[in-house]
Amino acid sequence: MKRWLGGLLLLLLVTSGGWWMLHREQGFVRPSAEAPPEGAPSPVKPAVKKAGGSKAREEAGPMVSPAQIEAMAAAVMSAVQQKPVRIEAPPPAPVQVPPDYPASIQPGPEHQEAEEIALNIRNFSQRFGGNPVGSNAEIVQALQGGNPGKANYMPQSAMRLNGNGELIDKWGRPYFFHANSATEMEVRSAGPDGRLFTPDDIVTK
Amino acid sequence: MNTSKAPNILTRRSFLQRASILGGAAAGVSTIRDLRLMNSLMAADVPSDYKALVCVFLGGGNDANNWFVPTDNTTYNEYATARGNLVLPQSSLLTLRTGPNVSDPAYTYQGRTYGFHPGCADLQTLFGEGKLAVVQNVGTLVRPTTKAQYTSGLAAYRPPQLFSHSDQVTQWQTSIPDQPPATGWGGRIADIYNSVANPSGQISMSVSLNGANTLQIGNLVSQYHVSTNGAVIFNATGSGGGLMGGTGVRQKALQGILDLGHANLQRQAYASVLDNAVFTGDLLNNNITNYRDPTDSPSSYASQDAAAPWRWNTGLTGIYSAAAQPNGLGGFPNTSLGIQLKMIARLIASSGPSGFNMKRQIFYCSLGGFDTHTAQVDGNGFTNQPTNTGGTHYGLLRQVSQAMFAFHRAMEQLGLGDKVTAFTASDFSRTFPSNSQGSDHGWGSHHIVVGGGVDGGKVYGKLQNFAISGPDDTGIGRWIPTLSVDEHTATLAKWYGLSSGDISSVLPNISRFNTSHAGGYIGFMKPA
Repeated sequence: MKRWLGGLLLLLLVTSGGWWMLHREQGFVRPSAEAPPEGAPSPVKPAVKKAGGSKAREEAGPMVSPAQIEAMAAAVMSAVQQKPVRIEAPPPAPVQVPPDYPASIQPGPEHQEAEEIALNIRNFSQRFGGNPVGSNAEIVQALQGGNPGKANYMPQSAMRLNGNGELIDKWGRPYFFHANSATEMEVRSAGPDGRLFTPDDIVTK
Repeated sequence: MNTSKAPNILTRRSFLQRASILGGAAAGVSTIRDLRLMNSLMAADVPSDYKALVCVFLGGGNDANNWFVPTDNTTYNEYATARGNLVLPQSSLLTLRTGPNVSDPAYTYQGRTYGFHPGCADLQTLFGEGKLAVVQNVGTLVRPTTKAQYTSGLAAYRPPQLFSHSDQVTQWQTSIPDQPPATGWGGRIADIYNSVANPSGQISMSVSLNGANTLQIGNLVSQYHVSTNGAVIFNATGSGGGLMGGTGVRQKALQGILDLGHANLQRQAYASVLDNAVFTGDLLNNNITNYRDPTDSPSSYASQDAAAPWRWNTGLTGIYSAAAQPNGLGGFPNTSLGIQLKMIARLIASSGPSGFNMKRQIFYCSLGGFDTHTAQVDGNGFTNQPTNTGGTHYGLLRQVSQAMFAFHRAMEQLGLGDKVTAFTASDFSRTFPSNSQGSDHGWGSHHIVVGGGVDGGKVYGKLQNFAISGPDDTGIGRWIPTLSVDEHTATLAKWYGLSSGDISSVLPNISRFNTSHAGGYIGFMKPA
């Protein structure tokens, strides 16, 4: 019981300490060598200079003028409307296969393409903390800029989309994206026979 | 040169201050949750009876669209149109009836009749007996979600990494999809209940037959892993009489070392853990010795008294040789899931005061292979045969059906039929249209709950509209769940004995789902 009460008191102490520190930061302007000199233009006025009642807040005036709000809104709209930035990974190193292997298993451009898609998905995952989610079309949408950074991760070399917005392989079949986990996505092409999960499939992660 | 700095730019000092505050706040939230669990623990009533929950996890994402199928002509035609070459013939479906006999009328719910997959004859029997309930379209949800809300893309309506195996398994088992995984809902129940229900328990409240899992991760109660042969114990007897002659000499030597006091705290702690593990393993294996079935030792089984309580008669026939099935008695199927559930049955049989002395237990077992992107029907040479009753899915569902049936019969013979509830869970269901050979990752899924405590012989929840890109579909036949894992779990937890307050502690998101069902309970369990 005593330990429980002790824990509760400690928690209250930590919470109230945190609350006080947060409010202290907002409520005071500490004299600092970095503060602008008196009369010098300041990019943004501090909203509240002193802690206190409503009088102090009234004296400080509005936080931001309507003109400033409009300027900020224009800047945001411009950022939103701008085209996605293309972030394309450099092509992966060619797959090394001993030259004496039969020609039928030598990697072709279709393997390279699948590798590039997988590499770009990995890059996407590293930046946003997880793979793009959903169907083929939803994944394409996310890779093409439908992401928080509005970045385009779709490799130019693999830009073949069908009428449903799905990424298709060189034989015209949609790629299959198998989400094993948040960071592991298997990219599968049905290969020449057009049937998934057969031996001629091209699979990368 | 003077440099001006906007006040909204953080200095290093203020950044560190805020970071420490946020860290403290996060720890505070976690501590508050733990304190709530502690409060629940103190308030929990001491149970007088035995109860167990058994999770049967179908790994890979079970295609529940073919597990439980509407059979009335109108809805079946909608099903058949959209399922493509994965469709099961209407005549092959096993009709759910209002009683155990084939003459009993078909069960009707929301104007529809239903049937099980042709591999699930034993589940059909349990449904007819009123010991099995079907819960439709359950899945991981952050909050109740409509198609418009899903399409909006807002994180508030989408569990993170939907359609990914490992993430959906984790979210099913934590039931807190919008937070990083820390504990499973089974582990949180055990944290609340273990010290109250099992003050003199001899083994962990959480036992897994399939290794580590998220469901049973708790802060206080650790999961105990058991193989299908029992506890894996330290084999120190050696061959040919042991290292120093005489059976068990090495084990005795080890025990002697463990019994020594150690001044070093770490050594002492290690010795205690190892000593405890050896003791628990031996205790467990000794206790389960008397509970077997024909697959364990056919000859000794045949010579035992037919009235012995351990002599399972599950009624499953035709799965053993005649020698292994004396007098026509049937045991557990000798399959992956069958032998896991058999071991769970043996552990439950040993849970009384003379055994493990447990009042509440949670078991976990699992069967993989449900990721049926290919060969889902008709086997490897998929040819879209008219029967569509073979293939990978048939074998898996048949295994589930037989094993869960045998398990429930064994519980009935122990007199615990209404005290043990088995339920299925899975990563997700699968896409409704075919990918030409199978189906891909979906979302909402149908599940079954089996036991005498189940208000069975009934179907719960709402069957989704089968239209592709329709109101219940995210776009390619992935159903938006209409019941959450929270509601499903809350219903089980209430039967298990948890109060509303306890349930809120175990399922912090449950209050979001109180709109459609009073208190978040679906109603598939009888009153506790």
